[in-house]
Amino acid sequence: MRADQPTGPAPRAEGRDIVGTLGTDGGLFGTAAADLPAADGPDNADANATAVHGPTARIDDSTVAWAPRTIHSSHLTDATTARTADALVLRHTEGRDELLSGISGAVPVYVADDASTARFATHLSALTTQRPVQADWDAWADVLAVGAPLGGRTTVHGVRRLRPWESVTVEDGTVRFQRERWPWLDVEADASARIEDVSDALRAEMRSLAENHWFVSTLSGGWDSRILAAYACEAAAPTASPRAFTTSSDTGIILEELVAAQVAHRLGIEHEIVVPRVDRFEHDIRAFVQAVDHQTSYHVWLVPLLQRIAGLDGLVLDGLGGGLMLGGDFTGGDDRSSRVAGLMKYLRGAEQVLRPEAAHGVGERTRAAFDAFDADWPGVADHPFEATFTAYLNRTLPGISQSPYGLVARDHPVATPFLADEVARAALRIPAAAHAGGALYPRLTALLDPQLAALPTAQSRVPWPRPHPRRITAVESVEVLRRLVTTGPAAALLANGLAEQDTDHWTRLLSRTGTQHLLRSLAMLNLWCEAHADHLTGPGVEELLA
Amino acid sequence: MSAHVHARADRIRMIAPAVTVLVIPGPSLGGPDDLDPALVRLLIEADERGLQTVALASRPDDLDATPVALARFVATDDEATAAEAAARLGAHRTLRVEDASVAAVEAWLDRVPRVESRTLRRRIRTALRKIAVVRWVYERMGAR
Repeated sequence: MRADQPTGPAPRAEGRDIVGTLGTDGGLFGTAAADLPAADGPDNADANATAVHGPTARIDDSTVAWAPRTIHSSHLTDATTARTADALVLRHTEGRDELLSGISGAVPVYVADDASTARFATHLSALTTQRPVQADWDAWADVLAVGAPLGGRTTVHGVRRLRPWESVTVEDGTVRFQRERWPWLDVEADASARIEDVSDALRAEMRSLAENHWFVSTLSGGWDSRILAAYACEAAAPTASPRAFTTSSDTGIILEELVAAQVAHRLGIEHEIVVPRVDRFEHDIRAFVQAVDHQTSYHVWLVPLLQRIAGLDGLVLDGLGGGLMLGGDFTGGDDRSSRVAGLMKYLRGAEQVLRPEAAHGVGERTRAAFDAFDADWPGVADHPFEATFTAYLNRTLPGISQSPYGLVARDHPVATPFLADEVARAALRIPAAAHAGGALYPRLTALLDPQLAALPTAQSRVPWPRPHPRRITAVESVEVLRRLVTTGPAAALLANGLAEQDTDHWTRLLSRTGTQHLLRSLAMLNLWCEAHADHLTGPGVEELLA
Repeated sequence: MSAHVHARADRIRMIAPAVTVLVIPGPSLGGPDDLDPALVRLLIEADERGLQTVALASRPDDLDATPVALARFVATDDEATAAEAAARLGAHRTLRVEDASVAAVEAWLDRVPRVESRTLRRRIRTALRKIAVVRWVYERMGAR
């Protein structure tokens, strides 16, 4: 092993994952349905067929549910209630195997369509090991333009990620993907809906989680983690107070860490700040993209925190979706087309990183993906929460979700309470206009602690112009990224002369959001090519040149 | 005399307007082991005002103290501490000084760079953006 290769949050031998095949002769669970895990348990593995590591719940003779946290069959009466509890459901009946995704779609489950059978896994790498691998260049264009593959694609041709309320069925040697209408689109706004309803739902969710886990808060300076930490403190037993950990999202300032310290002090919980090391930057970027199966390069900065909490046996609370379901994020812009253009923000200034044909090619492919989205999700464009759902389905799910469920879930149970069905529904019942400007956040917080609600967030205190450079612009980090970007096939996409530009030029590119994102993503593309070097087939990166 | 005006973070309750550098001694130099609410408030004020923060360290384990770990620069008079600080923060944020004690700060304070947003170029740009017409042009550029 190379010295700079990841040693961090790698999959544990007994991790939380599920892998198997639909449509084999022996049935989904091996020789018979009787091979299903016999009871609820933390680690039911069947070496002969579908491997299930981590918490499962048996629903009936033919159905089992799995989630990256403890679930109980007593709470799940059938496949629908299990999916609503955001579990994945596996069902085997005579001649028919099914895999059904949960209500939020946030837990990645990948499916490789092998024509008469379908292999599935919660880690994509389980589907590509020792097999030919072909790039999906539409997906790679999306990674560059938006942050992650769109439309259920993955960076691997022929492997799909199930979207919310989607299923794959194998019957009579035929593989069929099917997506029913997503129930969250049918939640009706109600002028009488109250923030207290969201609070009640969140309380119930936290109480349920606290029955089986003690909490680890990944506390930032923002609202989502603050609210979860406060509700966790209320739900936790007096002897099991949550522990909080904070790291820097590399904004160049330390307000996130300091405001998190204020929140932890107010809540009276143990708090630790994890400061990343420059000399671990290459390790961190390699560890991150490996853990998330090279689907996004968003949250590399989270790796040091994960290493710090390695071995802690707590459930990690993640605020995924809070900004959308509650905070009214991504609602700016005059109209839908400008908001979609906003999601492709990383292409602003792309000509400084990509050669013109590449910038054009990437833009064309991703615009086509958004056109397909409108056709694929006819209920979204005219929905009162159009901006919320567009961002959720095209940014939160394919990209941001990888942070909790790709990276953190490798080593810890994870929950994302803002995406719990009752919590999300309660938030969506409050008319969209009332969400604007994050107005619901302090109200939800104040129901538990008015003083905590009055504490300014880090974001609200950020000085402008940005006073300090980001950590990623350290000379040492710049040289790492320059090497990762210029060593490998992705170098063919670079703007003329960029590889030879001096460190100051690269530093300027890395100090801006869009160009930094492009460089991180190109580095990930090269690392993906490196990881699959012995098995790569099909057209190369030139496909992205229009 | 230094162009910077410094204050010691563990000895003040408010930051005077003229201060440009906040100095945070490591535990071995009499500084705090950890953050307390008053220090957090002070560091927030420093960050909002875009001040430089410089930690003083004379032993490698000074770097483990949270107030030191959060500082933008580390000044040290110890070889092993300098090497470790460079590994953690990067060489550009590590200042090798002859004497890292609080009393000797003025001798090397000029080596602390001005905050990027306080450079003349950035201040002119910021001032221009306060003019309505220029701001409108910037916003149009950003919306494209």
